[in-house]
Amino acid sequence: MTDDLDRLLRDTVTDLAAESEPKDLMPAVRARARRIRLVHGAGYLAAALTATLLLVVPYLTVHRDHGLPPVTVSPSCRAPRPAWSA
Amino acid sequence: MDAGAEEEFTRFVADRTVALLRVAHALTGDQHAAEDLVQNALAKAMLRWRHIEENPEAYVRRILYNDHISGWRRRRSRPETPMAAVPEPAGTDGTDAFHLRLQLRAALLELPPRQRAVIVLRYLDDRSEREVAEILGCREGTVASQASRALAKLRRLVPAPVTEAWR
Repeated sequence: MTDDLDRLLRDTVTDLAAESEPKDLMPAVRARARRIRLVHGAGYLAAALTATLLLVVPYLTVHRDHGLPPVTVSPSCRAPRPAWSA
Repeated sequence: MDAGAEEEFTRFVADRTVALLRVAHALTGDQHAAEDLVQNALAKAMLRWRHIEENPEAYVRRILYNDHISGWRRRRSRPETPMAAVPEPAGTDGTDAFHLRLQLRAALLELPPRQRAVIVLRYLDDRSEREVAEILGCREGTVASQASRALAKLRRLVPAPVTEAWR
């Protein structure tokens, strides 16, 4: 690239930059930071909630007490001993 | 953010907004898109101020360029340029500097965001290829190829009399 073009391109980019108008962005920056923080917070909350549900729901499903008595083997229900073992 | 950090950040914004808006305007070619870009970069910087207060400007500029490339406001990435009248095409002798610059400006705004970012970093910020690569988070070879593609496109978009000197 020649020096002429280099200068032309540099001038054009500088002109483009110089067209910007100064503005106080601080109030908008604060508002946007609050919004970003809120979105991040909501994201963390959703992730925590999902993790909790993923752990708790299967636990409750497996360990839920159905109100049935514990399973025991009564002596009267024992299988008879085979004849050849007497 | 405590009161001291808040004050420091407010001072940083007051000091650097004009320069950041200039860069953003060169990237987007549009005042509103530039303000959006700068606001977003500064808001992210505000949230991480404690970690970046050593060199906040570098952090903000990196966000600025990368947000622009990632098409954070894609719908505004190819803005129209309002003009009082449609500019006349450059004369065949290529001596009309005003028209040449208008055409070059339009051609620059037609470039994809990454190529435009490379051009702005090279020609407005005077960054070396290595620095551009660091800011954009890519390899030097990528920067060189992006710059080369950008210049090839500008050659196609800008009329022959302007680009004769580029060959």
